Amino acid sequence: MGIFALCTLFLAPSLANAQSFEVNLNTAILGTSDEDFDILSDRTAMPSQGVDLGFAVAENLNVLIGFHTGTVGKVVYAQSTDGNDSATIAYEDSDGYYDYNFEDPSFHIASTVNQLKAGVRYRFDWTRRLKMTVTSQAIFAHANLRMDEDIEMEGSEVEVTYNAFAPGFTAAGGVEWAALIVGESAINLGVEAGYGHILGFNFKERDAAKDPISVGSLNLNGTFARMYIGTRF
Amino acid sequence: MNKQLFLPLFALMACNPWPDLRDEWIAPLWSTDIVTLDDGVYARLPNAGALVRIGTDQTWQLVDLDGATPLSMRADAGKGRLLVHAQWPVCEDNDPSIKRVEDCPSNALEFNHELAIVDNGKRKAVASIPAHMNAMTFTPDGETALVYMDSAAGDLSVSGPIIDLSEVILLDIESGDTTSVSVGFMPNNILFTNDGYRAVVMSRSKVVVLDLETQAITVEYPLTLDADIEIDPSAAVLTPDGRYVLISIEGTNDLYKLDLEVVSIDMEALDSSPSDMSADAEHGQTVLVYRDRAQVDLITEHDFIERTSLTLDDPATDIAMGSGTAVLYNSRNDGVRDIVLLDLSTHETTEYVASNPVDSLKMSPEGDYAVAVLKPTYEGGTSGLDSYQKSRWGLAVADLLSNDIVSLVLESEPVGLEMVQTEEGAFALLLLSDFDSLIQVDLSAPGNYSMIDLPSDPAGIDASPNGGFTIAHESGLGQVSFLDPTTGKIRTTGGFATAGWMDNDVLPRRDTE
Repeated sequence: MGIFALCTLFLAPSLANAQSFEVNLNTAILGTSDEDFDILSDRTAMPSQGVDLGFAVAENLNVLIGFHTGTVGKVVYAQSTDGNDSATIAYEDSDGYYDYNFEDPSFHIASTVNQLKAGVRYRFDWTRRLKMTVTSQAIFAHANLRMDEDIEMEGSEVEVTYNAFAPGFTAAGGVEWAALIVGESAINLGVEAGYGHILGFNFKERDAAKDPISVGSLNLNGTFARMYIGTRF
Repeated sequence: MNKQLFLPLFALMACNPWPDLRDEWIAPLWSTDIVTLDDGVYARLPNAGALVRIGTDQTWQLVDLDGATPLSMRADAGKGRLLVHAQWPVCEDNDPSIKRVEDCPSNALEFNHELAIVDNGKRKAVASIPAHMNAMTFTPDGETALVYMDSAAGDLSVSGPIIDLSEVILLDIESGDTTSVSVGFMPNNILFTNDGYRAVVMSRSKVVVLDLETQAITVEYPLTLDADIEIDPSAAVLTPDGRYVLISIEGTNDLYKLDLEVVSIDMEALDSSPSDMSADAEHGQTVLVYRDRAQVDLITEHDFIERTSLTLDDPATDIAMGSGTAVLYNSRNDGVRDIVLLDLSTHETTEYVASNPVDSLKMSPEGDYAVAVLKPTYEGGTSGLDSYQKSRWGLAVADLLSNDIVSLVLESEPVGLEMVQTEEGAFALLLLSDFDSLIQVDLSAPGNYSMIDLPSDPAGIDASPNGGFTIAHESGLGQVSFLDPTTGKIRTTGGFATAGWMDNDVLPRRDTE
């Protein structure tokens, strides 16, 4: 309902003579070549969703400020009791069928990446409804890495959380289609693709010892793509 | 307004932005084969290739092994230092762009091995000992370890360009200095003389005496004069006076008696091949049991072998020595349920019959009780409670003073059993698989037990040098509990197995190679 209300509000005629502001709802992915990301997701990309707010600072040039967040995660099975250091992924049962060893100790792992973005978007007028866009944004990102052996139980099982911050940027180009134009306002659909890079998130355990203990790092850098729906008014 | 304009919004919302929560299988983050020392509990992290020292109250730290991955570890004789077999990758390709293990061409990648000596969380010394030297015995003073390859220990993957299968390595635990001695093919048992200055090393068809000060072989006993005949010792014991070594031979009834003072070998024909032998220092006797004979032998005079044979109802394969007593049991034949108390001064036997066959047996600290883990059997022809008991794991408590035995039925398979003696008496601490409580059994009244809640299912228990116990849990992220048996208080540390898990496998020691 909130989204409907927001869209209805944005469709209201603007008092401004030009489209001075924009609000976009985004969904995006940022690729990664980090092999450790396989632990978190089978996809090689970090998804995110969020909102961008913009205002015009020059003709066709808007400043954008946004907040995006995304989460990936898996259930991880790890052997720990039979003295064998290698993982038994599947075993053959008495009927000759292979089955997975769900009796192994398991835990949930998830990472949420929150991105504060600030940058600019330039629009080239192509037709009245269709525009080409170029967007560049700096990123200040926070990531947490959470592992929990029983996400439905509070306190009695092992649960750890690590946090890290890292800067980054995205640069992308795309097209934007004004699906509905009412006076000076419009509802737009946009698609952009480009490159994104966030410096590595270095997760550390800081409470167990005097010196922080490295848990590992997560690197997000690669193809960046996003879709958005929004309004300019 | 045209509602179709909202369709793209719905399509956008239909994209799945949330965790896919698929399953992933990985190598274990930690090994529950923990070692408890004075300064903390040590655990291997196979996935990260690291060693962690765990303390109470959620504290832990990584032990710097200079990039090496621990493969196995054990405590020294005094439980003060940790001996860690470790390996590290070496990339023969000197391309400076190669930083990580996976960047190194497979044909240029090899692994070197060493044994690290860890003291108080620090690597104090390193010895060049390959991982296949998997067995270790400590001299009585605890300062030297005799390291050898035990062919019965499972993994026989050897490493190195030249392998000496007849080698025993003497390792100075303080300095890491090593001396290699060739003692005979496949050394498999090492005994120390009572004065602690000599080691008797058994190998195929040969026994040697090693002077631990000069680190040289002083005497060699050939077990056969025919090189075509292979003789493998199966059990050995030093007689209580320290003069003789008695050696049984696999597949024969011969008992070899090696005289360490007047170098000579005598042979005694036994009734069968002993499965276990133990020395009784209090009465100067040696106890022998046989897998295939319902008989226990006592060698009461070793100079000329005077042997007393006692008949049992069933064969016994194992001996647990108590104070002036020996407890005999059979861990290899599921048809035998007897536990026999042998009074070594009167040579009288007392038979206890457990409900199920014995899997393992431990004596209480003061020797008043024998506690046996009983294994399930699947005999036909039984029904009701009899069948219920036989088909389940059990715990038998034999009171060696009152001749009573109690067989308890357990909910699941035991994963740990330790004995503790307090001012209130003797107790068995029992851990069961898939059961998140520690069971404390009062050995004077085995039906009376108490339970201490554990944070999760246990995987094993290890005694601490300070009298406490460490419990490893079935936990993917790593969890151990510290038990004070006098108060029953438990403190738990968890999450340590995540250390270094997601770090890149950087080639260690790259600059110094």
